[in-house]
Amino acid sequence: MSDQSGTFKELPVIGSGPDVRNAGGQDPIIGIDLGTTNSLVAIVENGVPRIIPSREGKNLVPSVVHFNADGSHEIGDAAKGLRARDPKHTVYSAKRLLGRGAADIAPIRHLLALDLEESSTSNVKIRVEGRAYTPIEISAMILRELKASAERDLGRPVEDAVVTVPAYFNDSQRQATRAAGRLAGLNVLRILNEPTAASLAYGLQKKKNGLVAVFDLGGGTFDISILKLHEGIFEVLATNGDTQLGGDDIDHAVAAWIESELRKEDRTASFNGLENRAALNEAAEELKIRLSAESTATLKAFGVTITLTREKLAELTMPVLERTRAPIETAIRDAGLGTSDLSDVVLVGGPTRLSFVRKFVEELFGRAPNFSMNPEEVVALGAAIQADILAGNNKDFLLLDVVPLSLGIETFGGAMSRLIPRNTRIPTMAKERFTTFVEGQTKVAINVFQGERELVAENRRLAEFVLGGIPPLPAGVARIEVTFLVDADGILNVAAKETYSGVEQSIEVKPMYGLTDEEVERMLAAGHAHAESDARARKLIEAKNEARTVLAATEKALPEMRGLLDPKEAAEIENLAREVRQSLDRDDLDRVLGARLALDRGTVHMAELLMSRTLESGLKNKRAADVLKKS
Amino acid sequence: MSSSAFEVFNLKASFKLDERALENAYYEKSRELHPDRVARGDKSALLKSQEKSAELNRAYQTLRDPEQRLEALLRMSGRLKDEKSEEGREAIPMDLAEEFFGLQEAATEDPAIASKKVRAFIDTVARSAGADTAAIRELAARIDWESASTPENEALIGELLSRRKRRAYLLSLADNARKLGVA
Repeated sequence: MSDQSGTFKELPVIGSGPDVRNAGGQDPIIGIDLGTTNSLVAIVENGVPRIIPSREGKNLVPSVVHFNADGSHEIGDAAKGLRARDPKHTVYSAKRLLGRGAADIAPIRHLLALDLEESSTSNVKIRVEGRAYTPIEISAMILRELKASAERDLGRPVEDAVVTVPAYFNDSQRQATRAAGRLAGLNVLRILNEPTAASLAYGLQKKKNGLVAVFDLGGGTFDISILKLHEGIFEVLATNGDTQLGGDDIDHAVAAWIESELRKEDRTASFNGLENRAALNEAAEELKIRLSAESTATLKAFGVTITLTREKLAELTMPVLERTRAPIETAIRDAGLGTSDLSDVVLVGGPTRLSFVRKFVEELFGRAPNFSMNPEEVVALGAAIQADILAGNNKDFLLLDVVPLSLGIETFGGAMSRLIPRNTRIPTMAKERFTTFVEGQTKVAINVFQGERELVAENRRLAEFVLGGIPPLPAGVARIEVTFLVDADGILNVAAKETYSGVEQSIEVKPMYGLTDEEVERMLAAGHAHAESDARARKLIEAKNEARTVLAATEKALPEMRGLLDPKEAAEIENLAREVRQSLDRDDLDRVLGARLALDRGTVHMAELLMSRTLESGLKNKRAADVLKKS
Repeated sequence: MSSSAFEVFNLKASFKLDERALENAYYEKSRELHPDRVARGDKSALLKSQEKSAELNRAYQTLRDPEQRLEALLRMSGRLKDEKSEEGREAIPMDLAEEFFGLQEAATEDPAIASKKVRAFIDTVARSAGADTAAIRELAARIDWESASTPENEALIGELLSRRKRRAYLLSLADNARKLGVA
């Protein structure tokens, strides 16, 4: 393995590795839980993790972006508050779309109150007012907000971060998350699995050994991880999950029920369309939340009173929860264990607050689950602990994680040749030899897939790459050795070399659902340009408002004061006012500012006269507008 | 070239292994080699750590699984390729093979009756393969893999290989029986 001479290339190419920086540097590394529903940022200080509060002073930042009419946007609580009222300009649950194509999201497509632009070959986009945003851009906006919160709280710039993802996220989704980090100006040192992060936070609290199951039901994803905790080592034995299953689905089940209840009142009613969808989802979420405290909840939706009992909610939720059973059983089996071997079952994610979810888990594992930590904060705290480990401050803890899905290549007849089976410890490496089929062949195409099915067509295509620069040789003589490396982020890297002639290989990668390095760079550049033009637009609006005020004041004062002014001076003021009026028709910031300043100066004398007339002293050298505003 | 799984852990080639000690050695080496330790280091340190860590993980996965461990030992002593040879042909259980062909015929005539028999057959075959596994591991533990070419060891390896051949045949019989259909 030490004779590695090829250059590693990511598939698809997104982001770059960590920057070169001082070992054990003092720059803070933050931990971020980028959630479907809520996001959090945390930091470890002197060995103690804490959540960094948001702009509004809250720990949870709703993963919602609202676009304002002037092109600016809001994140978090402010955006969430506008979701029901203005769904067309509000984006939520972007994480469910991250790194996904049209086919991936088909099962949940009709439930989302989002205007989507679908493509089979690239990431689904979200349309807002004619502009299509990738889920990567939306996620980057949320990350930027968290970064800003951390900088405000810590009082220093923050660049380095650990960002968590569901353990069952595939390569594309991990790549997309890392790209979002880069787009937000973050250097993502590690992509960390959420259940693993949670186990770190629990481990820090308890410092005990044993076999632990982490049941992580988030807003849009479900993970089950089985870990062995041993003297500070957190060893993942197996992981499984469903990246299209979460609290959102409970809301959707309740929304579908509300819809059927409403239809009982009016059989012809239609609840399609963004506004209706958003209103239904909102009502469902509210009922669900209220039922964790009350046994019956009632609200008015579409003019109809809806009553939901806790029993009915449990019944509606059961099909959603049942979907966690198969992944759990597979994970325990893959770990080589039985349910009775587990010493603890840890709950993670907002939906695990619901009493019937806890009951379901208890029945499934035959033991009362552990929810001694806040299930919504534990992942972010764990991410901060991992950040502290990467900073070199915590040498006691070490995470040993696994790759969640098998990686393989297409072989003859469309079969999947598995190179790295699921639950292999990462980092891991596999080598495969390829050769040519035709004399003089200089290129070999290789398709990489991820999944558990026997046929590649049923697995997910991660990338297609072409090995070029093979010297022309008789068929079957060239020996191309390809090394597949899955790094500690669970992301695939590929390197190749031709061993017969020793010729260096070039690898050409076509990203499937992610963004290339170039695209990220372009977006970053466009983002800066965008921010600049946004600021300029705001300044222009402010300058025009100011100019209008001054103009109105002048137009009001001039007829009254004309008798006291020199005719030449009055004419000059009229000229200056005309120039301001004309500047208002153009979007030229400098001209607006210049014309208004000139009018200000030209009306100083008139303002003084006004002042003496109204006997208001102490206001010398003020502009006409100020004086008039006072009177 | 890459080191053998045993070399990575500074262990002598042996099927017998202290699992507890292996696990502790793995944890200790991971603490030293894992990329977490060079997260803020330069790119080349990171790459090196990834390679070392990957090699360690692979070696651990090989050693902790008895089947993979045995294959590594056979590969090291140059005997893994013998699996495809004619050696050990006589080990194939002809009685079970004949029973399978009988089942195949019965399944075409009456699938309902055959289904019950198929299930019983699969159980028998699985039990027999399980006995082979126990025998293979017992033989593997008796072999001195550091000097595999002594006549005594050669004989044991020969026996082990024929048992493996028998087991592989049984497993494929079970697979084929499953394809006949179990209701």
